Amino acid sequence: MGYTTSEARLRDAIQRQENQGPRARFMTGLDRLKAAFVQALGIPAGSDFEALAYAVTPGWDSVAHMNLVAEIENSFDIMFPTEDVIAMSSFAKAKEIVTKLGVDLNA
Amino acid sequence: MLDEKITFVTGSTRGIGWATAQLFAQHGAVVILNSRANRQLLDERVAELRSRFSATAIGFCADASDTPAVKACYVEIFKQFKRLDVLVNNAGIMQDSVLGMITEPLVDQSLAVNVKGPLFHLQEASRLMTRNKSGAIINVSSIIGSLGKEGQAVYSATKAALLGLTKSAAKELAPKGIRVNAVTPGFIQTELVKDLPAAKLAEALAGIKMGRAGQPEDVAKVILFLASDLACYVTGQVIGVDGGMIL
Repeated sequence: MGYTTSEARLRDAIQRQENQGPRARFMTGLDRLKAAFVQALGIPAGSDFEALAYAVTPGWDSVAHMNLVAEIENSFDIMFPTEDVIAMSSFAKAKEIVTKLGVDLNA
Repeated sequence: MLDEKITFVTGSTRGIGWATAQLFAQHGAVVILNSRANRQLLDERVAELRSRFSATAIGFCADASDTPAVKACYVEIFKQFKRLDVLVNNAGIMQDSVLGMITEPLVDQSLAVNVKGPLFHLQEASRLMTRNKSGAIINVSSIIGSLGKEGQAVYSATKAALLGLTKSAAKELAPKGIRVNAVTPGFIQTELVKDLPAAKLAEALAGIKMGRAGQPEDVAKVILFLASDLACYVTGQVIGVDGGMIL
């Protein structure tokens, strides 16, 4: 189907995460964040994550946004302050916020 | 009925809130109590739940009109319990005034405590509940919010606002497994009515078909039902607890 190696790896990781629950430790933090976006927004695993933006990316509306927040919170066992719920308008912003909340995206 | 459920009752050191907290504890819940500012009474109530019911109980001092304080409660709930199963939005104030004498501070304070507070409690609670795709929120409104009453336009407006909040939140949160309902107590023997002049008391009682004022426990029992799995298919509803006052 033309997936690159990294996309195939992420899809496989997502499936394993789904099989084993949201806190599968074999995935890096970054992979888990991507998996949360894939799960909540229904986007392909091979998406250009850095291009994702609230109210711009199809399907990333306010309802999906709250689902996304819940997915990320569950993945990392964190709780977003309300101002960060509102501020999380892109994948880049999401990385910034979870890092601020103590998540190591490289681990 | 509420075994191991994590429950948070705002304004729960007196009246309907305290009756609800006791009933929750009696039915196995972990109970988080709340007082606006009375730390001593809050600690006494926590101790009483622990000794009478062997309940797990803690208390937060937080003014419902203080949004950062409200949010801080949920940060603490997340730290200690990682979840929340039931919120009872009970904290409220009743400040009476005929229309011509309503002041802006009265309006601002009533809106802040009776509307803004419950709204932000609901917002924060629903986020914790969304993580588990399950939860129950009960907003304590008032028969005055449904029927109105002379001299209580502001109180009535704020309690009516809770009904709109209840129905909107119920629609939005149902897909996430969270139920939102309201109770509208009638004339209940609480601190809010203890100083009522005898004539007003008699007038109120005359309008109650069951012939008696309600007790806080009467409302608490309905709240318990709505919080429990017995009401698993009930959401967006407003249930009167008024002894036939509305008839």
